[in-house]
Amino acid sequence: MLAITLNPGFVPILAALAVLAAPRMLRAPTIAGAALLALWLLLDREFGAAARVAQMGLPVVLLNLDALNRIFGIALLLALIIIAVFSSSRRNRYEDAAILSLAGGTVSALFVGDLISFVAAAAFAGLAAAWTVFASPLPGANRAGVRLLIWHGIEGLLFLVGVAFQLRAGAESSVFARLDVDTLGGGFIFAALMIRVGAPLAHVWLKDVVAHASPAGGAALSVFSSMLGVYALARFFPSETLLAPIGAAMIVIGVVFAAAKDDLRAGAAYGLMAQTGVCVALIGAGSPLAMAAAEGHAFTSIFAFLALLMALGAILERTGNARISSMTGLARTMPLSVGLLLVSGLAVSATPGLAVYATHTVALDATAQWPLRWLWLMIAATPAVLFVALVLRPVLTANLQTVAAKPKAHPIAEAPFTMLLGAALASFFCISIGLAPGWLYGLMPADLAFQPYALDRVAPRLETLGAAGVAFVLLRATGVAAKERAVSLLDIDALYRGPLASAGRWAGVVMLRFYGAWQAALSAASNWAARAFTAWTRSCDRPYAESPVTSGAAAPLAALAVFMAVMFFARVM
Amino acid sequence: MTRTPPPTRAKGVSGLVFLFCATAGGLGLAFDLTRNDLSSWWLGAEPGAAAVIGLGAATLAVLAGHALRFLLRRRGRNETTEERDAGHHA
Repeated sequence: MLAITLNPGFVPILAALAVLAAPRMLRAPTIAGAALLALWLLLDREFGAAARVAQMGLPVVLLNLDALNRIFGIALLLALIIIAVFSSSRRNRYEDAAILSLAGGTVSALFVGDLISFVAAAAFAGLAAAWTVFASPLPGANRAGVRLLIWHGIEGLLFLVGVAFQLRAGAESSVFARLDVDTLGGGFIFAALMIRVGAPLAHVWLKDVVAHASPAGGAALSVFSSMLGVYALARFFPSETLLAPIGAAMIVIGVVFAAAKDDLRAGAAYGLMAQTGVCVALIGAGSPLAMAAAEGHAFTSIFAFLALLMALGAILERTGNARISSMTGLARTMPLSVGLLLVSGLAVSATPGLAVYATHTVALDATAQWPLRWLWLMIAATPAVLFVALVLRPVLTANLQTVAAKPKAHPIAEAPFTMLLGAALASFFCISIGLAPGWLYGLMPADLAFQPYALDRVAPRLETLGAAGVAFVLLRATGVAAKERAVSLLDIDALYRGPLASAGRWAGVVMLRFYGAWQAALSAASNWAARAFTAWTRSCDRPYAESPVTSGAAAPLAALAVFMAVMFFARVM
Repeated sequence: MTRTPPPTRAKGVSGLVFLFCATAGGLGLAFDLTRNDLSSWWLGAEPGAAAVIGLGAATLAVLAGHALRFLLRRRGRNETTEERDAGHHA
């Protein structure tokens, strides 16, 4: 058997170059083929480090496979295959290359074994993410891409500083090991990962880019962005006590904004933030069961949100937006898309029989301790809020049929077949993982003998979701629930996009004015000096001066005489 | 004879959703209440507490929707977009 020592993430990166030149018919097969090849490279290897070299005295480990990165790698590469199917109906070779680069950078970062390679791969993935947003045809995408570049730039700077401080302890400290937040190096790397994972105050980039990306780009960004941060936290900061409250804050902010957003793609991004917060909090809890739950929950959330964003992308493709307020009657014209939205929303809400349920129950068991009771409560309530926000609100609105005075002239058709197929494939994965999670439990680093469909686990979940559904339908029927209106909500990015950006522009204008004044003063001074010099040289030009003294030539003649005397005596000395 | 537009009437699947949710919730509550587990480690894990959590979560979602729209609704020309930047001159 041919033994190939190659980081699986390098395959999609090389395929990105091929896709730039490939004809349209070959691009989707190239993406899927690259993912399959990378998956084969991943599954064909034994655990352990390989491809270790030394560069400038620093160890560079390009491939280090273990149970932690294997589970993430399998999820990301399967997701890439589904994205290949979903994106095959549109013509955008640049976005195809961007998505492959994003996937390649993320998967590469999963499988390297030293900090420097990790930072390089993560930075490459960040650039590719911005490229994915730039390739979007939606309005505002360019600005969103620039904002993402700024966030990733700050993250990269923090990474570099952290790695530099880590390397002070010696070259071998670059190899992966648990880091300490109390050290400078560990602290900076932790701060960088807080940006990557979308911690509070740094959470706005994800909803910004998902809302502005194309249908395929949004799905890819949801998969290949924040989950790398979850992996890195599990690798570098397991059992870090700061992570539990940070994860809890992510859950609260995520569900609250998801419940209020009209733009469902941004709402899905907030929902992803909430489920990522569950993973982060579980990593902070740190027990073997909690770590296994975090990794499994990341795995299932990848597929659930991939399916959800694909269904929303299909709606976006046909209608031009994915706002709940615009979805009235959509079920008549796009029944398959709304059906897929329902299934994927149920998956995101941890409904029994679907993917996230299988790991959500593990998460509840892992936090079923008295000191973690509030975290347990948040984790238990999250599916109910997401059920209301991402399932009931859009599905009830989409099935609302009004007899309007003037019927629409152009009925909306169903989404393109490949988009429906991609979303259906992702939903199939959600259902298959949910119904038979044993193989997922077998992939986890910790041995897990878990029965998710025991009655004492299924019954409370049915209770929670059922009660939430009944309550919301009643609140909606009585008019207590807010009507779906086209509104945009401010978030923390309104601060730096509004007042801070204005302050920066004002500072820039003031500095430009100072610079302009300085340039004008310099110009005036040089003009005056030039005029004075010209006048003096002209005064030396007069051929018939009365005397050297009265003609004004005395001073320069005296200066010349002194100069010649100095030179004469210098030579003599 | 006056020409008035026909009244719009709305129909949907709220009833069906209510039925499904009530059935699922009722089944879950029935199984939860009849299980013989006396080792609940705290109030939130007691039989029937999951239904309370669900009710609270739905209420939280509705209240959060109202609160955020009241407090954080983007006002002005670009009310429905998030494109208004400090440097945006469109």
